[in-house]
Amino acid sequence: MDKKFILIIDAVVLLGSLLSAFFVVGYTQPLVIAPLNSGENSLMFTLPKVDYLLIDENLKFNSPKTVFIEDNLDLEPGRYYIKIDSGLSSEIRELKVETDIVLQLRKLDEDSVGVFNVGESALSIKAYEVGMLVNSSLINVGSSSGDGGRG
Amino acid sequence: MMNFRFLVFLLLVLVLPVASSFGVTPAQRVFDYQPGTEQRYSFEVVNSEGKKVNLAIIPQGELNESVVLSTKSISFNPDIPSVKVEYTVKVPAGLKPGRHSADILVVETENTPVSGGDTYIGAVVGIVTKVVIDVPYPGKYLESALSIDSRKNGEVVFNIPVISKGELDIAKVGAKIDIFTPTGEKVSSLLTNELPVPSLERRELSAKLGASVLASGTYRATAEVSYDGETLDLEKEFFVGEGGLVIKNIKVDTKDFKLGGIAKFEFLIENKLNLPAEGVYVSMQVFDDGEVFSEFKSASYDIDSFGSKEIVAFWDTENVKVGKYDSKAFVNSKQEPIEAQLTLDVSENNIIVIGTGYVISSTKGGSSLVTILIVVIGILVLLNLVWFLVLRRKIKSK
Repeated sequence: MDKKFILIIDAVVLLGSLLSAFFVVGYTQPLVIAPLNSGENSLMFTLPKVDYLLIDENLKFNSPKTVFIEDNLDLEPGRYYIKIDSGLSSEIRELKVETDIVLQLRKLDEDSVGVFNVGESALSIKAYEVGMLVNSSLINVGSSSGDGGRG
Repeated sequence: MMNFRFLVFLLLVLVLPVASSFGVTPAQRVFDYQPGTEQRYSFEVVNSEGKKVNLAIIPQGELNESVVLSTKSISFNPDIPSVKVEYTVKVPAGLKPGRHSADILVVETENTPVSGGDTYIGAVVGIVTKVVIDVPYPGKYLESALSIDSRKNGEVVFNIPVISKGELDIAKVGAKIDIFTPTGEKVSSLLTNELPVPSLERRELSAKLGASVLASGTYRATAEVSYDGETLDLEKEFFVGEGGLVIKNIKVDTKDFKLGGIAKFEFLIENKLNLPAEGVYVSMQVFDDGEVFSEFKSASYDIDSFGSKEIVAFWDTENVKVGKYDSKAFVNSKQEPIEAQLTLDVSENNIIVIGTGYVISSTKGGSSLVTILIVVIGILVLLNLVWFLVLRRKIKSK
C-alpha cells in the first residue's frame, strides 16, 4: 500500500480525534471547576421547620401526597403546589418542574428544612417571591440519605 | 458675502455626521500659547475605502486666518491610501486667556470650487481636525469637573479632574465632597487626596464611598475644590441602587366574587427610594396557552419616599373559565417597569394568586453536541484500531 496514503489517513484520524476531544473537553467555553453554589451543593431551597409537606397538582389539595423528612420524591415535568403547615401558619408555594427530578426533604437546623436534589443530573433553580425573581442558581446532585422509600 | 460663507459653513457642519469614506488623524491638536511664533503641524487624511474622491481643506472658526495650509485640496485615487497635509499656525498676539481654536474642515467635493477659493457648493461629507491654543490665565487658575460612578464594585467613586490653566503652578489641590438627599439633608462627607498641579497640566483627585452607606435613591454631591487659598464649587446628581419599587403583596378580594363578575386585585407596592414615586400604576396580562387573553390596569398613584401604597386594579372575568392561568403583573413608573410572574387559580368563587415558588429545569444545554462528539471520537478510535490491525497483518504477510 502507498505509504503516503497511509500517512494521510492516519493524519485525518489523529486530527479528527484531537479536534473532537478539544470540543468535548470544552476549552472553547468556561468550565466549572468549583462547586456550583455555596454551602450545601445539592440544597435547592429551604422551608420553615415542618415534619412533612403536602404536594399536589391542584391548589385545592384534593389528592395530596405527603412527603416526610428523609423521604424521596420523584416528580415528572409539570406544575405542582406544596403546602407547608408550620403550626400557626400555612403557606403554599408553586413548583414548575421542567425535567424529571428526585427531591429529598432534610432537616437543616431547629428552624428550617431543606429540599435537596438527589436525582441524576444538576438542576437550574429560579426562586420567585411575589412573582419577582429573587434568586437563580445551579444545583449539583447530592447523595440520598435515609431510607428514601416512602416517596 | 459673510452671510453666504456662514451658510455654506453651516451646511458643511450639518453634513459632518454622515458616514465618510475617508478619515483625518489626529482629531485635535492642543498647544500652549506662544504669541508671535509659527507652529508647524500636520494631519493625515486617510482614504479608508480606497475610493476616487476629491477633497477640499477649509480652515474655519475663530483662528481660521491664522492657519496656513500646505494644500487646499486633495485628489484621491484608489491606489493612494493616505495624504499628509502640513499646516502652520501663526499664533496671534493679544489673545485673551482661555481656549481658542480653529477647525480644519476636510470635505468631499463633487467637482471643483465654483466661486472664490472658499465656497464649495458640491460638498457632500466632511470631517474636522481641530487646532486649539490654551492661553493661560494670569496667576493661578483651575478648571475642574465632578464625575461620579455609582456602579463600581459596591462603591461610589468620585473623580475630579483638575487642570491648571493659570501661568503659575498650583502647590496643593484637594476637595471636600458633601452628599445630600433630595430634601437637602447631608448624609455623608468625604475628602479626596491632595496633590500639586503644574501650570497647564492635568491631575485627578478621587474619593470612594461604600454604596452600603447610602440607601437606594437619588443624591446630590457638592465638591468644594480648594487650591492655594482659592475655591471652586462643583455639583452633580447621582443615583445609587437598583430600582426602587417592590411588590410586597398581592391579594384578591373575593368576598363577593363570582366567576364572570369583577375581581378586585390589591397590590401592596413599597417605594424603597429616598424620593417620591409619581404616577405609579399596575398593569396585568393574563395568558392562556401562551397568548394574552385578558389585560387590565389600575389607576395611577403617588407613593411617598420609603412609603408603601395599596394599588387596586379590577379584572372583568366575563368569558374567563375555571382553571389555572399564567399571568404577568407590571409595576409601571418613571423607572424601568417591574415584572412579576404569577399563577392565577380561578375557581367559581375564588381567585388564588401564587407568586412564591420555584422553576426547576435541567442544566443540560449542549448534551446532544457532547454526545455527537463522543460518538465521533469512538468511531475514530475504532477506525484507528482497525487500521492498525490491518496494517500489522499486511506487514506480517510481507
